[in-house]
Amino acid sequence: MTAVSHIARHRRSGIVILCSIFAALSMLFVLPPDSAMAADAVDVCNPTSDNGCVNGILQDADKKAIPDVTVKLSGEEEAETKTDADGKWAFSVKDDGDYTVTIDESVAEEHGLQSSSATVTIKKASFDKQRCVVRFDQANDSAASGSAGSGSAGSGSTQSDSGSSGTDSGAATTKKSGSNIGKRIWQQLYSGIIFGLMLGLMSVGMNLVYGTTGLQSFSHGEQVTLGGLMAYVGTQMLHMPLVVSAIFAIVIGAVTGLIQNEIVWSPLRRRHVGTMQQMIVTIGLSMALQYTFQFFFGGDIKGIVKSVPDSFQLGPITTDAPTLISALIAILVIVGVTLFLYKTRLGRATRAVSDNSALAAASGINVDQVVRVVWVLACAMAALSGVLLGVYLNGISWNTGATLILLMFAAVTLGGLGTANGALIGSLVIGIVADMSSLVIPNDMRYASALAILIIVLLVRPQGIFGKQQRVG
Amino acid sequence: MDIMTIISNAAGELIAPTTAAYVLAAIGLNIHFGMTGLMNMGQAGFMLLGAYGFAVTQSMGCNLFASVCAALALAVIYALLLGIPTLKLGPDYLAMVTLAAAEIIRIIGRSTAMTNLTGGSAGISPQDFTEKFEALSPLPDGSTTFLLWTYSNNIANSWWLRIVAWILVAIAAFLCWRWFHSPWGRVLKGIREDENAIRSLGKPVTKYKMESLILGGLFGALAGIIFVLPRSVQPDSLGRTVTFYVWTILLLGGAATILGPVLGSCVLWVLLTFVKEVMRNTVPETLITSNQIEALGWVIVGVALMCLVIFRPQGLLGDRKELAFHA
Repeated sequence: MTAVSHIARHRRSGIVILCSIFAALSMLFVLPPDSAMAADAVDVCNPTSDNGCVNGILQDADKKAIPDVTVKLSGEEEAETKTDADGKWAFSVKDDGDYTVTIDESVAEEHGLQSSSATVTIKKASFDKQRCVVRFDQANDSAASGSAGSGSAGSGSTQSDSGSSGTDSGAATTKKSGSNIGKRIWQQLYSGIIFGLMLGLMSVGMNLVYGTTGLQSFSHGEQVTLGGLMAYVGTQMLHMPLVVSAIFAIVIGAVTGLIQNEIVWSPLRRRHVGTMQQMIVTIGLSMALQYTFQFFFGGDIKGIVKSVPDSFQLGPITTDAPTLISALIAILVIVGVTLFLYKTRLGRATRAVSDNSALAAASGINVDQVVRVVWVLACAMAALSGVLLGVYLNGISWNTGATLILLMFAAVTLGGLGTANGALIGSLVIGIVADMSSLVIPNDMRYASALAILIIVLLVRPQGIFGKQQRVG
Repeated sequence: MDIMTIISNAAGELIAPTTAAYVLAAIGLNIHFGMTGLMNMGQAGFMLLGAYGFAVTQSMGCNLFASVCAALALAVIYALLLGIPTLKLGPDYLAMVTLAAAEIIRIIGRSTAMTNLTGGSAGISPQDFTEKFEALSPLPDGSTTFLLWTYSNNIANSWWLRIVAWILVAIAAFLCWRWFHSPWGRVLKGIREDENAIRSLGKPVTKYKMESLILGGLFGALAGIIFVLPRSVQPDSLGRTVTFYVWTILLLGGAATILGPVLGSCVLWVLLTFVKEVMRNTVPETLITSNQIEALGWVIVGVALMCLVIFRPQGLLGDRKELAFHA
C-alpha cells in the first residue's frame, strides 16, 4: 500500500508547502480553536497544544475536487466524515500516535487515485507532526509534487521561488497556530537575519562591481549557484570534506570572476560599450550559465551535506550548529571586506574608483587592476555565499541564484548603489522583511514584499539609504 | 523521413501562435525601447496581466469583447502605475521597477491566497476561457492539412487561432509603420536620441513617454492573450525568461524597425526548434536526455543574446545609428 508516510523532516520536504497551503486556507476562515474531545470531524482544523490535525483535499489527477466521499479515520481514535464541495476534509485528534485514513476502494479506482488509505503519525508537541496532510492523489513520495516544479525542465521558465524558499524558515512557522505568536516572531526575525547575512555576502560583492564599473550584473545569481554546486561536486562527487570543498568552490568562483573580467567585461569597457548594453549581456550570460547548470546537474535540489543536523533551542529560537557557523562566517567575511576597503591601500583605491574612476585614473590608480580585484572578490564572495546557502537550505539547485537576484538588486538599491556597507544593511532589511512578512501574508508571497520595498525605495529615495543625491536620474 | 519531420516541425514554428505572440510582445517592446528608448525589463508582466484579465473575465462568463477590453484596461492601469513615478527618473530605474513589478504580479498570481481568482500556481485551465473564442470561429469542425502542417480547425492550437494571431500581427505592424512615420513618432525618436533637446523644444517629454509605455503595454497584453490561448494560463510560464526572450527577439530582428520583431521571432523559433529537433534525432538518448536538450536550447538563446549585443547590436535589419543604447 502506498501510504503517504508523512515523515516530513524539519525543513526538508515539499509537504511543508502543502502544509502552508492549508495554513493559508485556514487563515481564510478564522475559527475558534477546536475543543476536541476525541477525534472530531471538523470543517477546518487548526493544531494547538491540545489537538493535532489530520486533513487533506480529495481530488483526482486533474485537480478536480471529489465531493461527498466518506473518509474514515481509525487508529488511536476513530471518526468519520464526508468531503465537502471542494473535496476538503479534516479531523481534529487528541492523542499522539498513528492514524489511518481510508476511503472507499471503488472511489479510488474510479478517480484513478494512487491509494485508498494512508497512515500518518501525529505528535502534538512536534512542529512537523502536529498536522498531517493526506493526499490520495499523490504517490508515496508526494514531497516531490509539492515543491512547485522547481525541477521540471519542460515548462521552461520555472523560476519558482517557493522551490527553495519553502525549505528554510517556512517550515517552522506555517504549522504553528496563533497560540505562539511571540515565538514565531522571534523565529522569523532570526531566520530573516540569517538570510539577510547570506544575501549581504552576495550583494556586497555585487555592489562593489556596480560601484567600480557601473554594471548591474544579472549573472551574479549564477555565481552563487556555481559556488553551491561546486561545493556539491566537492563533497558528493570528489568526496572531500566540507571545508575543503568550500575552499574549492570559492577558488573556482574567484577564477570564473577573473576569466569573465578578462574575456568579456574588460574588452567591453575598452570598447566603451554602454552599461545598459552590458547589462543585457549579463542577462544573456545568466541564461546561458543557468541552463548550463541544469544541463550538467539536472533539475533537482542537490544536497551538499547529506546528514540533517540536530536542532537545539536558543532562547526562543530553534536553530542548529551549521546555521550558526554559517552566519558567523558571513559576518567575519563582511567585516574583513569592510576592513579591506577602509584600511588597506588597495581598498582605498577601490573606493576612489567607485567615487570617480576618471579622477582615480588621473591620480595614478590602476583602474583596470582595481576592477580585476573587485571582480575576483565579488565572485569569490558569491561562491562562498552559495556554499553557506546550500548548507543552510539543505541543498542547492540550478536556479537558486536566479530566484535571489532580484532580492540582491532590492538590497543593493535599498542600501544605495555603489556603497559597500549600504548593501549589507539593505540585505538585512530585505531578509528580515521577507521572512517577517510571512507572518501576515501567505508564505509564498513573501518575496513580493521584498520587491515592493525595492519599488517604494526607488520612488521615494532612489539613491538609497546611504547613496549620494547626485545619482538621481 | 526523419528529415521531413524535423523540417516540418521547425517550419511549423513559422506560423505557430506562440511565435505570433512573441512578435506582438516584441512590437510592444519595440515601441518602448526602439522608438522611445525606454528600458522595459518587464514585458512579461504586461503579458501576464493581459492573460489574467482575459482568462479570469472569460471564466466568469463575460463576452469576448469585454474580456479583451478588460485585459487592455489592466495593461493601461499597470502602465500608468509604473510610469507616473519612474518616467522622470533615469533609464535604469524604469528597468528595475518594471522587472520587479512583473515578478510581483507573477508571485501574487501564483500565490495560494489567490487560488479562487487565478488558480494559484496551477493556473487556469483552457476549458475555462477558450470556449467562446473557439465558438466564434467561422471554420468548419475537423482538421485541415495545408502544405506540411495538419492542425485542428478550431480547437486549442488551431488554424483559427493562427489566423487571428497573424492578422493581429499584421495590424500591429501596420500601425507601427504609421506611427513611426507620424509627427508623434518623430517626437518619440527625438526623445530616444536626446530627451533634453526635445524638452527644450517645449514638448511634454514625460507625457510622450507615458503614451509610448501604454501603447507598448497594450500590445504586450494582446500578446499575453494569444500566448495563453493554445495552452493554459500559468504564471510561471510568463516569468522573467519570457521578457528576456522578447528582448532577444527584438535585438535579433533589429530594434527601431517595423519588421524586426516579426523576423526576429520567426528566425529565433525556427532555428531553435530545428537545432533541438536535430539533436533529438541524432544524439542518442543515453548521451543527452531530452531535458538536457531543452536546457541546451536555452543556453543557445543566452549565448545568442550576448553575442548579438556585443557584435551586432543593430540586429538583422536595424541601423546602427538608430540604436537606443545610451547610458
